[in-house]
This record gives sequence, C-alpha cells and structure tokens, in this order.
Amino acid sequence: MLSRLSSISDSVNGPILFIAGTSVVMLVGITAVMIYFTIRYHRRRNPHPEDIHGHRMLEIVWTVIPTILAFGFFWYGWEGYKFIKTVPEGAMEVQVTGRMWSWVHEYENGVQSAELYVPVNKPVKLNLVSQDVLHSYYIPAFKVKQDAVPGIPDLFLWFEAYQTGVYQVFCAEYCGLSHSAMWSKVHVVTQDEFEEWLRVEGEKVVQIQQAAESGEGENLHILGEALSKSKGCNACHSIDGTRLIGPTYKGLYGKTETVVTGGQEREIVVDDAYIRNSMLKPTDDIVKGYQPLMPSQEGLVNESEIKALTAYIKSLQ
Amino acid sequence: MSDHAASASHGAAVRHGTVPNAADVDFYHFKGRWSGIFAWIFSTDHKRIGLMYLVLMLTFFTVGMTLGFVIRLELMAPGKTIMDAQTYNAVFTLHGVIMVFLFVVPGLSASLGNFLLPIMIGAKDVQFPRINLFSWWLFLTGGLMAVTALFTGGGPPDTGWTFYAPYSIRTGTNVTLAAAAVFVLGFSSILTGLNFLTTVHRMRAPGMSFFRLPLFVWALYSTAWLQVVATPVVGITLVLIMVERSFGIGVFDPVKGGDPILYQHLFWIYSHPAVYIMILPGLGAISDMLAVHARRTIFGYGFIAMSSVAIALFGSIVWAHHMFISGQSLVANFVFSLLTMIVAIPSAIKVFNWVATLYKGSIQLETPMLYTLAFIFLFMIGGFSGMMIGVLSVDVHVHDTYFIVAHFHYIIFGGLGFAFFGALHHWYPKMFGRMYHQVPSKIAWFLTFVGFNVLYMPMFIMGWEGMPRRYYDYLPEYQKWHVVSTIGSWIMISGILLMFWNLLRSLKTGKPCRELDPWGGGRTLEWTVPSPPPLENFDKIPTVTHGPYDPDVPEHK
Amino acid sequence: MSGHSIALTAHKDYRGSKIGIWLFLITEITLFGGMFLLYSIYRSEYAQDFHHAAAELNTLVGTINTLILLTSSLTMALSIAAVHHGNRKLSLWMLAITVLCGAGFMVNKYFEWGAKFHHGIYPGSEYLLAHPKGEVLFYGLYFVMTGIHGIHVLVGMVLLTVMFLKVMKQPNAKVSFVAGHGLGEIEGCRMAFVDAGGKVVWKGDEVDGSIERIDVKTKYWPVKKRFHVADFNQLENSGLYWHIVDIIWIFLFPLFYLIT
Ligand code: HEA
Ligand code: HEA
Ligand code: HEC
Ligand code: CUA
Ligand SMILES: [Cu+2]
Repeated sequence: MLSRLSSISDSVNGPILFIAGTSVVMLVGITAVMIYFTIRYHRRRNPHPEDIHGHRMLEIVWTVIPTILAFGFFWYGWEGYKFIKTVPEGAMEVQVTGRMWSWVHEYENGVQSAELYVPVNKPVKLNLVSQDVLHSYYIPAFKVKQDAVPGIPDLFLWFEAYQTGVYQVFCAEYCGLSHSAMWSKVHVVTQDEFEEWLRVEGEKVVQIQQAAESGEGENLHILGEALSKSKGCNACHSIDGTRLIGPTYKGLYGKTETVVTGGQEREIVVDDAYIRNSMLKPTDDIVKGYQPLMPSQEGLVNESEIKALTAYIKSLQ
Repeated sequence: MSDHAASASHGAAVRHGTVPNAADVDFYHFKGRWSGIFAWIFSTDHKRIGLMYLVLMLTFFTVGMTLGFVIRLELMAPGKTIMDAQTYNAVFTLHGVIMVFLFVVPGLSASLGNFLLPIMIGAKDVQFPRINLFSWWLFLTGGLMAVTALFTGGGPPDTGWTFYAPYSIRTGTNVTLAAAAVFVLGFSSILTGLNFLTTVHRMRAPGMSFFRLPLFVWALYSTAWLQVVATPVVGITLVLIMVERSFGIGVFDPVKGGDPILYQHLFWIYSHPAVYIMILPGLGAISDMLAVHARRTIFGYGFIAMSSVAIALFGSIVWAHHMFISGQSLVANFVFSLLTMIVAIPSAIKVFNWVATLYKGSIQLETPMLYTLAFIFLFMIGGFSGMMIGVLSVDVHVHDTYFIVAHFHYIIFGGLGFAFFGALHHWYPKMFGRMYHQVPSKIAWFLTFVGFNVLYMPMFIMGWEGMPRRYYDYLPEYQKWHVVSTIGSWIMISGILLMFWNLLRSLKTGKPCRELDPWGGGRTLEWTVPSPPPLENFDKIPTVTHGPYDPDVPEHK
Repeated sequence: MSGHSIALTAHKDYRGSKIGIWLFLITEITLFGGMFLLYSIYRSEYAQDFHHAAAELNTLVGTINTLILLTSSLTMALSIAAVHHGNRKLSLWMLAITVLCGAGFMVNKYFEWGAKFHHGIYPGSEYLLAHPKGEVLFYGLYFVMTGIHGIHVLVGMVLLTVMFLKVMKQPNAKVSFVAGHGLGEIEGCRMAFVDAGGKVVWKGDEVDGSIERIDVKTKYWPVKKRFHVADFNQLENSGLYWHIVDIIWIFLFPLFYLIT
C-alpha cells in the first residue's frame, strides 16, 4: 500500500500518512466522545437537561486547531506536488499519444510501441497529447497520473522507477466505450536491456522502410501486423470477423463497401487508395452502420507504414 | 397518503373555498376548487408541494438506487457479468444524473424545506406560492425529459454526470436531451431558491429576527443563495454543450480552437457549490434533530448558523479542486488546494458544536437520533477523505479512482442521505399525523448503517490501490474488494427497503399522533401547530420572543 | 367577510416581489457572466483573430440596434412613470413603442444574421473552418450570445405585450384591502386612482409604516377604470427585466462590434 516503487511514491505516501493518521485519531476521538455523551446523558441517567448556550474559549480552540492542521496538510501536499511537477535534468523523454482507446509511445529515435519500456533508476519524462477526447495516463504502482487534453501540447508527467518489473497503465479519464480497456504496461528493465530493446525496435523501423520501398510483400504484412498492434488499431478492428467499434479487417480488401460521404451513401471498392484515405482522413467516408469514431492517423503514420498496414489488411482474407 | 387525498385548494383558489374554520381543518382535508389528484398537482400550498416533491424525489431515488444496485452486480466479477460496456456507461451516467440532479440537489430543501420553512418562521406560505408550484412542474418536466432521453435519439447518454467535453460533443448518444433536462431542473432549483430567500427576508413572524431562525432555516437560506447564484452557470454551460452538438460553434471543441478545460471550469463553478447545495440542508436538519432529541438548546447556535453561511461563501471559490490533474496551471492548483482546506473549518465548527450539544443533554435514542449520530460519523469519514483528496500530491494518485467514489458516497449518501432519512423519521408525525412503527425503523437503521460501511469502505482501499472509476472491466486483483462491496450493497438494500416499507405502511397503520410535539423536546415553531398542520399553518401568527431552541415557549407544555 | 377571509387572501407584498425580481436579475447576470468569461478568455488567447473577425460585423447595424434598445429603455421608464401618475393612455402608448422597438431590434438582427449566413458565415460552415481558430470562436460566441440575448428580447416582448393587455383591459380587479385592514401588505407601493375619463383623482406617495389608515372615499369606488395596485408592480418588474436585457446588449455591442 505504501510501496516505494518510484521517485513519486514518497510525495504521496508522506502526506497521506500524516493526514490519515490525524484523521483517524480525530475520528476515533470525536466518535468516542459522542458515544460517551450519548450513554452518560441518556434520558434514563440524565432526565433533566441543562441548557448550555456555548463557550467562547472552546469555539476558538476548535476553530484554531483544525485551521492549523488543515494548513499543515496543504503545505505538505504542496511540497510533494512541487516535486511531482519538477522534472530532473537529463530525463529521458517519450512522446505519448492517447486516443480512443490505446496509447502509443514514441521514442527519440522514432520507435513507436504500444507498451512503455524504460530503464530502471533513470528519470523519464512522458509528454502527453491526446488526439480526440480527454484521457489520463495513470500508473498506480508509481502513484502518478496526468490528463492528456486535445489541443494542449505541454502536459507531462515524470517518474524514476526503482524496481524492474512490469506495471499496469490505466486510462483514468472517462473516454467512452472502451475506457476501461485502454490499458498499457510499463516495462521497467535494466539500462542494457533497454538499449537492446530500443535497437531491435529501431531496426524494425528501418526494415519497414526498406520493405516498403522494395515492395517485398511477404515481409511487409508481418511488419504491418506489428504496426497494427503498436498503433492501437486492434482496439477497434478485429482480424477474425467480429464486429468491434470499427469494421473487421477480415475480408476487407477488395470488398464492396457502402459508405456515407458528406451525407450521401455510395458504394466503393476497398483498394489501396481507399485504405490510405481511411487512415488519414477517416471522416471523409464513413462506413455505413458505424460511427465516425476513428481517429485520424495523419502525422502518426508515414508512407511506408501505410504500405505495411495495407499489406497486412490485404493478407487477411 | 392516499387516504388523505381529499380535495383541497389554495393560494388564488382559496378564496373560492368554504372555510368552516380554518384552524380546525388540517391541510389534507381542506376542500377547495379542485378535487382528487388535481387538488394536489394544482395546489399552491407549500405543504402539499413539499409532499409532492417528496413523492417524486423518492421515486427518482428508487430508480437511481436500482441503477446503483445494478452497477454493483456488474462489478461483482471482471469482464461481462450482466450487461455490455455501452450499457454500463449509460447506467453510471444515469445513476449520477438522477442522484445529483433529481435527488440530492432538490433534496431536503425542496421537499421538507418547502413543508417546514414557512412554519418554522411563522408564515402562512412561501412568498410566491404559484412560482413554487411552477417549480414543481418544472421539476417534473425535467425528470420526464431525463427519462425520455433514455429511449430516444441515439440511446441513453454515456458521458458521466459531468458531461465533460469534448467527449460529450462527440458521442452519438442522447446527450442533448439529457443536458436540456438538467437545464430545466436547474431552472426549477433557481426558482425554489429565489422563493426561499424572499420568504426568509419578508415573511418572518413578528419578533423572529435572523438570529432566532432555526438552524434548518439558516441552512436553507444559505443553500438558496447558492442555488440562485451558481445554477445559471451550469445552465448556460449545458446550453453551450447543446448548441455545440447541434451547430458546432466550437467553444469547447479543441479541433476548432476551443478549450476543454474551460468547460470543466464552467461545470465545476456550479457543481462544486452544488455539493454544498446538497449537504447544507442536511447539516441544518441534523442541528434541529439534535436539539429535539437531546432536549436542550444548541451549543454555539451563532457559530453553527454562521458556519452555514461560511460554507456557502467559501464553497463557491474552490471549484477547481476537481481539476488538479486536468492540466490547469500550478498557480491555480496552489490557490484552489489552499482554499479547499479552508472550507473544512466551518464544517469542523459544526461537528464540534454538535458533539458539545450532547453534553448534559437528556438523550433519547429515537430513530431520528440514531440517524443523526450515524450521520456525524459518516460525514466525518467523508469529510476527512475530502481533505485527503484536496491535498495536491495525494490527489495526483487517487483522482478518478474509487477513492473519489468512496469519498462522495460517504459524504453524499452517508451525509445527506442519512440526514434525509433521519429528517423523514423526525418530521414524519408532523407531516402525516401518525407515528411509524418503532422496531422496524430501528432495524432498518442498523442494516443501512452496517451495509453502508461494508459497501463503501472497500472502495477506499481499492481506490488507493489504483482501481480507476467509470470502469466496466477491471483487473482480477481488485475483485475481492468489489465482491465485498457488492455484498454490502445487499445488506444496505434490505435496510432501505425495510425503511421505506415501514414508512409507507405506517401511513395507514401507524399509531395516530395528533400531539403538537410528539418528541416532547421540540421548541421551534413547527411543534406549536397541530399535526398535520392546518391549511393556514397558524390560526394567529405567533410573536416570537426568544431564540429557537430556548424553552418557555408559552404554547409549549 | 370575516377576519378569516382577509387572512386567506393571497399575500401581496410589493417589497417581497421586488426582492424576487432582483434575485432573478442576478441569475440573468450570472447566466451571461459565464459566457462573458468564455469571451474574455478566448479573446486574450486569440486577440488578433478577434480583431479581424470583428471587422466583418456591420457596426452601423449594431449602432442602430443599440440606439433602438436605448430608446426602448427610455419609453419603458416613461410608461411606468405614466402609470404612477395615473395616465393610462400615455402608459399604453409608451409600452407599445417599447414593444415595437424590440421588434425593430429583432428584424435588424434577422437581416444581420441572414447576411452572415449568406456569406457562408455560420457555426460549422466550411468558410469559417478555413479561417483561423480565433475567428471560428469569435463567431461561435457571437451567434450564441446574440442568439440567447435575442431570445431574451423575445421573452421581454411577450411579457410587455401581456402587460399591455393587463393595463388596458383589467385595470380594476378588486382592490383587496379594506381601509384599516391589511395596510401593511401594500407597504412600499405607490398608488393612484383615476376616474372614468382618465383624470387623476388621487395620487399617493409610497405607502409606508407611518400611514395608519387609507380611507378611499366611496365616490369613485365602484368606477371601473381604476388600477389594481398589483399591475404597477408587475409592470415595474417587467420593466426591470427589460432594462437588464438592454444592459446586456450594452455590453455585447462593444465586445463584438467595436473591438476592431
Ligand atoms: C454533498 C456532497 C459533498 C460534500 C459536502 C463534499 C465535501 C468536500 N469535498 Fe467532495 N466531492 C463530492 C461531493 C461532496 N464533497 C462529489 C460528488 C465529488 C466527485 C465529483 C465527480 O468527479 O464525479 C467530490 C470530489 C471532491 C474532490 C475532487 C477529487 C478528484 O476528483 O480528484 C475534492 C478535492 O479536493 C473534494 C474535496 C472535498 C472537501 C475538502 C470537502 C469538505 O467540505 C469536507 C469538510 C468536512 C470535514 C473536514 C469533516 C468534519 C470536520 C472535522 C471533524 C474537524 C476536523 C477537521 C480537520 C482537522 C481538517 N471532493
Ligand atoms: C445521492 C447520491 C448517490 C447515492 C445515494 C448513490 C448510491 C449508490 N451508488 Fe452511486 N454515484 C453517485 C451518487 C450516488 N450514488 C454519483 C454522483 C456517481 C458518479 C457517476 C459518474 O461517474 O458520472 C456515482 C457512482 C457510483 C459508482 C461508480 C461507478 C463507476 O465509476 O464505474 C458506484 C459503484 O459501485 C456506485 C454505487 C452506488 C451504490 C451501490 C449505491 C447504493 O446506495 C444503492 C443502494 C441500492 C439500494 C439501496 C437499492 C434499493 C432499492 C431497490 C433495489 C429498488 C427495488 C425496486 C423497486 C422497489 C421498484 N455509484
Ligand atoms: C477508436 C477506434 C479506432 C481505432 C483506434 C482505429 N480505427 Fe479504423 N475505423 C474505426 C471506425 C469506427 C471505422 C468505421 C467508420 C469510418 O469509416 O470512419 C474505421 C474504419 C477504418 C477503415 C476502413 C474500413 C472499411 O470497412 O472501409 C480502415 C482501413 C481503418 N479503419 C484502418 C485503421 C488503422 C490502420 C488503424 C490504426 C492505425 C485504425 N483504423 C485505428 C475505428 C478505429
Ligand atoms: Cu482513455 Cu479513458
Ligand atoms: Cu468539489
């Protein structure tokens, strides 16, 4: 409960211990007095009440003491909060994008992943943006949380993990249907493991680029599959024909689809160009029977990634 | 109540009625222009309006509670238990909307407040009886609109009761109608507040100076100010949401340059004061009940009265403590956290004075007193947890987790809910002229109290462990607490059903209780009129010569 | 009737209803206050865009509308003053002009909005979306705030029309106090009685606690054309509402039209 898994823990644990401690003492004390009075002055024992109108000194005492305590609580919490909001020099930065209903983490070298990898004992700063509605990046184990707000670019949180392991990430701000499924993980690994991971992932990026350029089909769809996972497409698109928020990928390519374009229904055949446009400008054509919920991927996927994703969709017949 | 539903009429219509002798006929039996149900729904008598509010509110409350019960069933196990995610999201939204806007905000003030306020200040009615009836009709309309929102448009709204933009602009569900419903309800609440303020200013009996007002009246008075000043802000905010959805003006839509955080500010500028609109009448009722059942004067009357005003004042300037994590500036966080601490002081003053009121009293543990004591205990837990989340660094961790859910259920349900139940029992004989059955009422209290703690205490724990709120599905490690909590809800349900059943049954079978003052300790004016009160409350407007809780009321035996 | 019947007559308290209407005006102010808050925040955020967008509003139409509303405020006040002096005819004329001013205002607004729509400026229009965000917000706020203000003008017009009919048709419901009874209930009210020809017969100051009795000579008692005291009050309250609607416009006008 009062675990110390990150640098943030102390700023939360300290104040809560102090406030909860004080509160329990007061709660128990006041309740005890209340019960004592109720018994002692029960009508059976005390049939004749006495009217006491007040006591100035007492009033002062029980105004001043809670005031002091309350300011104490505040101050302690503020000190902790200042720490939470002060990012140490040299923290590793990761861009985090939230959208319905997945997180994407992007590293300085362009690697993107659905789950966060960080080295242990190193300050990490997450820059949070949202593409659609409010989300909130919450790592309970590290006791840190920050909303991601569309249109506001400079929101962040930071932490330094103290122990290797895998920790849960939640979305803590209500964001619609699959809010409770908007999970991710933090993998806290050693510095070496982290660098290795980053290198391998970086190579994949290069591979995709090369594959896309050379148009090597085989490889491409496997990379597309990885991309679809890391970019959170699978939150809304199934590959086995089940209907999720969006249409399934299965059998999508080449099929004739009814879409609504600017209020007009029309039929289209799903091809490369259509899929590309569906990713970049999803609101142009809305598949009939679905809501315009798909977040635009503009700026989040590059041309080679689009090719890989298309190849992946193509492969799912 | 039905056996009393004889015809009667009031206000403007009164003049057409026949008045054998106004003082002898209670307000149920007064014959006026209308009869049957119309004698109620067209009545401008504050007592009838109060009872009509009570009936409507309890109806909505039952719906809200049933939804709460359904939430608990769904959360018994991770994954799908009894409904799908979309339904779940609609269910907690409606649960919140109904509980807040249809139950606790009108709450004690529109129901018992309407019934008691004029009597307590020695008046025959409120200042604007017809506006009073109109606000009841608005309340009914708003309630029906909220219900209609379930079955029309894109289905029940799924935004949470806070309607946060931009999700509330995007979602295809019927948010527009729900927001319109809340707007209408807000209007109703404003009119009630306006009515009460004017009534307290203009209609006090001779000698009833402000510092001779019962504390319940003080609380209603402070509440009314909040209603009048704060409600229009949420009204306009929701209108903006509706306009935004229909026409896309852009003020809250980040795509068009709007700022979602501003929406939150506007929403909480009302909705934080609204939580004090909810609790203040409860705090007032508790003071009155304590004085009666401890048979003595209130300790520190002036301090309790002024602390209601202070809560209303300070409560208006702390709204942004709901937004510590939203991305607002550090300065704002500093200021609002500090101010939040300050609201606790007037609450502290109240609690201490209540406890001191027990000292050298002559305490009888009637059911209302049991609710009162339970209230103080639960209110403290709710309040202390409020302090914890008002502290910045702690809120970073627990914001939007079950810790918050536990906080507000403790303070709303454990606070206002228990005060409400207590007040129902306390003024029951006055309202209906019958006494409820004692034993079941005490058993019901016990079950409710125990069930309550089993239900909500685990939420503090899982909240601290990181279980986010508004979650349809969760990790298995939280399940044990969810199960305990669900079991608690069953215990509490049995308590509450027993309570309602007992109160309803007693309308017919309860011992008739025609005494002026069945508790033998009532010193405020409502205990000087017959039970149930006559149409015009007072045969002759009384002249007040001393404070509300002081003895020697001449009419008092 | 007996003493009871007096107790049963609807309570009339003129100070009370003044308090009531003032409280209501407070709610109107907080209602618009919310939107003014939005306006000022967005304006400081997008100062430049707001200036550009405001340049496109027609200052002439705005000015005319401002003058119209100011005039209507004046005629409203004159109408109330006329009633106080027992001059029903003048009062009715002034009320009529007030309502007509309101109508003129709305017609102007109609054409103004129409012109904007014609240019493709309306919430969510393609034309707007192609412009900077600040301009979108400016017009969003412009349409909402003037729209809601317009609704208030309409409500005011309906209210004043009702008042017109009341003053015209039913000047003389019963005066519900008998000399020596219920005097306190008309405290704070000013009264005038006129005869059938509209001539003022009696004009009183505000009734205050120092007056112990008002004896109305029966000579004019049954005459039809006498004002019910309540109508003063309703008219005055409607007047207050109308003034607040004007005042809000006085704020809207410079914020939207004059900031270029
Ligand atoms: C009746 C309703 C009610 C009341 C009275 C309160 C009272 C208080 N609330 Fe609560 N609150 C809610 C209803 C209410 N709240 C709701 C519904 C939400 C959630 C909204 C949502 O997001 O859906 C919420 C959320 C909420 C938050 C936001 C949390 C978050 O989302 O992250 C905060 C943060 O500061 C807060 C604080 C407080 C405080 C400090 C008080 C104080 O007024 C409490 C004061 C009382 C005491 C302190 C106890 C008595 C005092 C003593 C016994 C003396 C000793 C005291 C000291 C030494 C300090 N509340
Ligand atoms: C007055 C306020 C009030 C009250 C009394 C309650 C009462 C209850 N609440 Fe509620 N609650 C809120 C206000 C309230 N709540 C608000 C504002 C929210 C936030 C919503 C949001 O996030 O937007 C919330 C959210 C909320 C959640 C969080 C949902 C989530 O975040 O995912 C949960 C979870 O357990 C919950 C549970 C309950 C339960 C079990 C009750 C119990 O008290 C209910 C007990 C049930 C009974 C006692 C039922 C008895 C009656 C019947 C079963 C009826 C039988 C039928 C007939 C006779 C016809 N509530
Ligand atoms: C929030 C849920 C969501 C996410 C995340 C999402 N989509 Fe979609 N997608 C939808 C919805 C809903 C539709 C159907 C409506 C529409 O056409 O916009 C859709 C439609 C599509 C279509 C057109 C399908 C058809 O049947 O014509 C393609 C292709 C597509 N998405 C690809 C992707 C890719 C690639 C990603 C990830 C990079 C992705 N989507 C992420 C919700 C989502
Ligand atoms: Cu994203 Cu909740
Ligand atoms: Cu609050």
